Amino acid sequence: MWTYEKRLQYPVNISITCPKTASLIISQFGGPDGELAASMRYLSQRYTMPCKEISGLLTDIGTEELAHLEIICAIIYQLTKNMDVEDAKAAGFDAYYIDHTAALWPTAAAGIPFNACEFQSKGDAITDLHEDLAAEQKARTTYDNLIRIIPHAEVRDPLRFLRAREIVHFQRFGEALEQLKSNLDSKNFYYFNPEFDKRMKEPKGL
Amino acid sequence: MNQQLYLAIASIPPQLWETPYDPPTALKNGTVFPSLNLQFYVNFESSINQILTGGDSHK
Repeated sequence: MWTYEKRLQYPVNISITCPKTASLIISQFGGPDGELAASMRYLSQRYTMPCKEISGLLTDIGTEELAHLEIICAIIYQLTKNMDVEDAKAAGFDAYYIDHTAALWPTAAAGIPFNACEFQSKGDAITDLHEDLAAEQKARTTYDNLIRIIPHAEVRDPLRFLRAREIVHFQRFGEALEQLKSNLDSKNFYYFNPEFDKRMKEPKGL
Repeated sequence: MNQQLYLAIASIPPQLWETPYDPPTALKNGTVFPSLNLQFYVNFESSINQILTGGDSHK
């Protein structure tokens, strides 16, 4: 279960109305490399992970990604809360406005709605940790792309914080992979699947 | 770091302990560890100080 803290992990205080910027940042809400996909990926993978420490790491990071989702949603909300119809039309945000008015709805910047095909929970610890390493890099690239294109310091500042977290998480998943490797036979890491072939892992005490 | 490297699998060196940032610097940089503070080249004036003294940051 979770407890909720009624504050953001990093403050968001945006004074401008800019649905165009919101339409780009929304990809980190419901896009292929966004925070919702990240959280669902880690919180799904954790059950079958063969080490308790790695399951715990997935819980911690999956939870933090929810806090990041909240930061992204606060940014989008603040950028659009005072938008009128003319703002939406001028920004190319009118199609979104027709379906969702000024509400939050998880979608990619290119208009593809969020779905679970954007992440994988494969059931093999080596495979899933490589997916997680790649996911952090993809999210980092998306933040790079956003920071490069968005001129407003008050919007970029929380994005810069979120980008930094992707790099920290990459390091943590890398350390998790090293821990997993230390429990496997280095002559052949791929001899069996430590999440599924449970009788194979008894000698090393995984 | 005497970590052994192996073919056909990713390897990440374990992070070594270092003196962490003070909490305000850590919040500003998104990490408490200087060696993980790897900034993007696009520079801009951080608005963190004015944000931290602002109003309700929940919405």
